[in-house]
Amino acid sequence: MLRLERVSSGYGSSPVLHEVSLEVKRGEIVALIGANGAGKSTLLNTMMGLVHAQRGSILFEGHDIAGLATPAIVRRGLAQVPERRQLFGTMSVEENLRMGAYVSPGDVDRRLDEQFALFPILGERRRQPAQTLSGGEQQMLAIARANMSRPRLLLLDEPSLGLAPLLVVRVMSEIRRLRAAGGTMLVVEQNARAALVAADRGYVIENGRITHAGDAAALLADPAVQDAYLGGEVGGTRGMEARIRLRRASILGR
Amino acid sequence: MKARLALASFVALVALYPLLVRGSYPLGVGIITGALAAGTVGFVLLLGYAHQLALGQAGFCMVGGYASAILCVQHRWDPLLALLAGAAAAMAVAWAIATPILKLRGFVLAMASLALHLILVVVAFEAPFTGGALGTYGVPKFALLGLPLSADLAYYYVVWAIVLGFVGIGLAIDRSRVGRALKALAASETAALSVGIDILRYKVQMFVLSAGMASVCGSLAVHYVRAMDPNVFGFAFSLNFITAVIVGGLQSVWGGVVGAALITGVRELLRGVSLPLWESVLMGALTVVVLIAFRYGFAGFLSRLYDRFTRRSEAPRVALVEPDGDAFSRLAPPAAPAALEVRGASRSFGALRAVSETSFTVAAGSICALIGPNGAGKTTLFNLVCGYQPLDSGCVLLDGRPIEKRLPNEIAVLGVGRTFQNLQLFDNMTVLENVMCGAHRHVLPPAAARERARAALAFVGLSGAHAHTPAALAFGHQRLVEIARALALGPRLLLMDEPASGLNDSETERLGELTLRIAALGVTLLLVEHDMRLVMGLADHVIVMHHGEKIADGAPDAIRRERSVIDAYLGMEEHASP
Repeated sequence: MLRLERVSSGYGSSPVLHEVSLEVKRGEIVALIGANGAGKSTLLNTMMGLVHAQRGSILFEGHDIAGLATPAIVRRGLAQVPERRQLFGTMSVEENLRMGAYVSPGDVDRRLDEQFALFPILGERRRQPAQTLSGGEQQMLAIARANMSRPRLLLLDEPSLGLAPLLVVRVMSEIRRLRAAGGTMLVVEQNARAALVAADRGYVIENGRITHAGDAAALLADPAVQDAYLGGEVGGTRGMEARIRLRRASILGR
Repeated sequence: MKARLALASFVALVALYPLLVRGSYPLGVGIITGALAAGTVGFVLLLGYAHQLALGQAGFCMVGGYASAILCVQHRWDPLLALLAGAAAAMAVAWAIATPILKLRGFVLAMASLALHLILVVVAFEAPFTGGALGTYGVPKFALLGLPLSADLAYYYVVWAIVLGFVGIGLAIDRSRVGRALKALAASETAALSVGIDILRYKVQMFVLSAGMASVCGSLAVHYVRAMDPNVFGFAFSLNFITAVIVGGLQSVWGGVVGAALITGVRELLRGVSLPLWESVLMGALTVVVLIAFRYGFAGFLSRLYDRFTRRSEAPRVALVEPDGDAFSRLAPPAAPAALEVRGASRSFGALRAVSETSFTVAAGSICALIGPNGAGKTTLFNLVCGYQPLDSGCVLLDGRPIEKRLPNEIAVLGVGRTFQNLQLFDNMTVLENVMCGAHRHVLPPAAARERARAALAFVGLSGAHAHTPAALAFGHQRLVEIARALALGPRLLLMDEPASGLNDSETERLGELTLRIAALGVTLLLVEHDMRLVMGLADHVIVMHHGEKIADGAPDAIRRERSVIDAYLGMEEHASP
């Protein structure tokens, strides 16, 4: 569905991305993980036409979309759920959703109902200002708003950002549910574990280059990926805590 | 270099202009332009730096104009003394109206200054000493130390020397601690308060200064026109100020000079083609064109043009360097950590009880974590402690002394630093300047402030990022800039709101190490965080909130076994197992 071939891009003359190739197939969830500053956001911005690719091609359903303006790309069926959600805080849930249909007006009411069917909690809160929703509900609203343009491919930028552990699990399971309903998604995440558990395949980006690619399960088991992104051991949620406690003992003596 | 080039071109243009033109009329245009520039330089400080719009700036020109006219004609004062007296009067009036009015938000200053102007127009018409509608005539030529400047050429140079002096004042402010504070409050008032910047005070200062400069503008113009009446400085003249600084550029005081020259120059050119009706239409159209073509005004355009020709290409990516653990402690010896106590704190927004009857203590020198679901009231609690929102009831004690009635900047000055969940960096300054703002309360000379900021950046491992703007950094690195800025404050208590959000695992672990080293400096820490590995690893003490209420409070290992906490927040048994 989406195929990037040797894409280089960046700001000014020096590229941030170096010959990045990746693919998202219809009906799958692909995770893109990497450190801060590795180029994840630049990659998303390049796909959306906010940053122009200097070299390489971006094929979306067979058409090269590199060089198109962002609204044209959105009309072709690519939608981004931005980092930190970027909701219209003082507008109601319903108004936020209607804004999502801005580029493709027509049968907006039906699409609204679809989203309320997908996310019942949003239906309950349709009159409530977006800023009064909890973090997890806001993330669902951001996803639903992107869905309003009936995208064929959804790009999610850090959906777990700032969410309580319980809500990270819930948002990721919502993402799985969207896939079961026929959605295709590229998920960019710092929370590598949560993203890879939810995804079918994954890519790791380091310093603007793809360094690992493969099945999500294989990446989760890859020692190099574990070391760099997963806290260093299988099921290593407690590994980091133990190491921080050791450091605390040596720095603070307690 | 750029500053020197700007200064050199300014002096050269001003010096050469009288030699290039013929006759007294163009020289007069030069004098009027200079008088206007004296006012617009001050207006840049008000609108561009303090972000306050005044619609009645011409009112202060009237004060200066009438002071010069009346004192010189009726009381035979020396023109320079009269000019200074006018400026003093304008500044006193500005101070008297700004101090109460700027406490309010929004466009109040714009309206208040407009109202003042209208009042002054009425006074000018009706008062016994102004000459009424006819005005005051026979204003003498300007004099310097008793020597009358009989030649217009001499007056021209005096006027522009004054403009140069005002530009010098503006540039000195720009480079000073006050200038950084002004840029900070323009970018984010919330963050400016968090480093102890007294926003109100700097806004008032700039309003007073700009009023003084506007008054000088009025005096200088009157000594050239030789008469003063109520219509000289009408509402249109205030609009002149606004147009000039927007066209010229609000980024530096040079914008005021360039703008004054542009609008008088263009107006004279249009007058030359003698199409009186079209003059204002073309003026308007030109203004719009400049605004569209040059987003930062004409001076901003020139500045960027210079950058384009001289800019070395900078590395786009910022690599973290190994944090220098001793960098900061070398500069700032460990302070005595502060103890925090919150007693029965409540805060509602309408029907929503964001925080209700919450009490807890954070022991001096400890690391305390505040956890709970999104919307539990954690950030609101931070805002209550730091003075951003008033408590409905309850109190906040820092080392046993109540602080809940104090303003956020006063609480920051007591040594309470904070970082923000939604980053609040000053995007109009470099990373280094951002951190220098953190040292605001220490009133350091520039070199020492820079040194302190460098040390704070080295401490968090961001030494490579000094010259970048924060927006050029990755999100997680921006968080580190916020931490460095809060450290430059020299906090005794530091509140960090979700510091690990947006960080991956290895970065989170490094943040854990950084947090411990901050604690080792002698800083009490209170953090809101969702990463349980970080919370459980770091904290001496964990407080759990749910629906605005405290539901648990204790050591990490006790908290993770609490049924209520697992149900409301942790959700996974994973965190609960030992």
